[in-house]
Amino acid sequence: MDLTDEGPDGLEAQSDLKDVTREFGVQFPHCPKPALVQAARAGVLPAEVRDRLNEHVAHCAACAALASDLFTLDEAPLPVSEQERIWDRIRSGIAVEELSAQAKAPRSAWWRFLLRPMPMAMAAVAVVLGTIGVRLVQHPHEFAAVVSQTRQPAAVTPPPAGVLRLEKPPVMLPAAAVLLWRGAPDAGNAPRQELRDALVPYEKDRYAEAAERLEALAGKYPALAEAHFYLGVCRLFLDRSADAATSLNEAHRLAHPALAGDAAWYLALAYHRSGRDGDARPLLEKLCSAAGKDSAKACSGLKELSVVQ
Amino acid sequence: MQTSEFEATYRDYVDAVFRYTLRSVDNRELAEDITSEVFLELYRNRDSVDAGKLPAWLFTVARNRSVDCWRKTATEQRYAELAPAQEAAPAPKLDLQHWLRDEPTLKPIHRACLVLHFVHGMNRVEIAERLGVSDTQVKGHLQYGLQLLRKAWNRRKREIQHGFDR
Repeated sequence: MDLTDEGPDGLEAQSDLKDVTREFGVQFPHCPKPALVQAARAGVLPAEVRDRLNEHVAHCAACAALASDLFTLDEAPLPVSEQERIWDRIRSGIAVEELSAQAKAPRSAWWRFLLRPMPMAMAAVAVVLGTIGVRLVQHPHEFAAVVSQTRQPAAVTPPPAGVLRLEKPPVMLPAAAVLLWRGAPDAGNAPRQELRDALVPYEKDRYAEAAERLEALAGKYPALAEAHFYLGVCRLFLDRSADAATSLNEAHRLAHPALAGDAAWYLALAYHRSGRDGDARPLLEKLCSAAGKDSAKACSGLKELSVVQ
Repeated sequence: MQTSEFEATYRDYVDAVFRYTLRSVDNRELAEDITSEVFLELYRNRDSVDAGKLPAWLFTVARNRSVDCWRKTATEQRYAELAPAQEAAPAPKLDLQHWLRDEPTLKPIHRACLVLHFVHGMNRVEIAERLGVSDTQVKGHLQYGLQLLRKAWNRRKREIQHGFDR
């Protein structure tokens, strides 16, 4: 049982209690994960499973106490920062919906537009330009000399430095409950700990070393979405966009809801950098229309794709 | 419902909806996602939702989203299939069932830290993430919980020495 991540923390010294702390494992050997007990209590599991969990809780002081304690502790008010973060997501979701509603709104009769002063002036300019055009076709030699004197070399437009740029995502380790959801109920904390170790060079921007470690980890735990995700990100930083797309595709396939948005965003980025904008577009469209934290960014990314094309 | 009314409704109910969702999915980030989806759904249906039935409507949507979330993972089935039946354990040195239930000085935060650490094998960082407190606070709570456990254990040892067995 790893209580000490960085050495003795005072609890290790309590060796006189080792016998009795070991008793927790003996007396409560098969307790379901707290997430399941809470979900059963909240009534979001099928009746058969809920009944089985409730039967266990009725006879298990540890689970009964934990369920009741977590209920009490979760009563704490939601911090303002978290409240604002959720509100921002909702607002960006509303903005996207309103934009798409405007796009679908019926238009007024097209000819009324022509009666406004500005379009009338534009029409006059068009007539003048049209006349010049016709003359140009009929007498091209009159214009050749003028054009040859004024033509400038075409300017090379740099790629827009917008949202479709590579930014390093922070390290987010999967919660224990998520590991269980992904079918590793017996793996304990090993994958999480190994992932944390593999991400040490990543945090220090040593992407080649991190990629090597993450590749090994992804081989060892093929269902660990975070291993594929950070491997893909490292490969993006190493300019191996095609390989990055492969890893991020796997991360996207395996991702639990908390990682799904980031996996889709970086996969879209890998496709874009590999010249596969056609594959990037549906991912960005989905992110743009969802009410997630990446929604506004994805909508801008979509616009950038259109500009680049 | 005007936008300002919608925001006021959000401020009134976000705490309760988030708390319910957190209890249902046990993951803070996921609970944030679901909570934002619930209010976005309210915005979409703002003209048809009866204001008098609003809290119930919000909780029903939150519940349905949480059910979907668990259904996707199918974990509950895994538990039903794999959880072994309780086996008869050897006589305990200290009856922890009794201690966890009846120790009067053990507060919810200390007990939750002890159970998450010693029963579920979670480390300090994981416990801190789950409970929304700092790593250092978790260490303090664990130390206090262990002090109480030591007292109970010493009491129990004295009982054994004097031949009183529960």
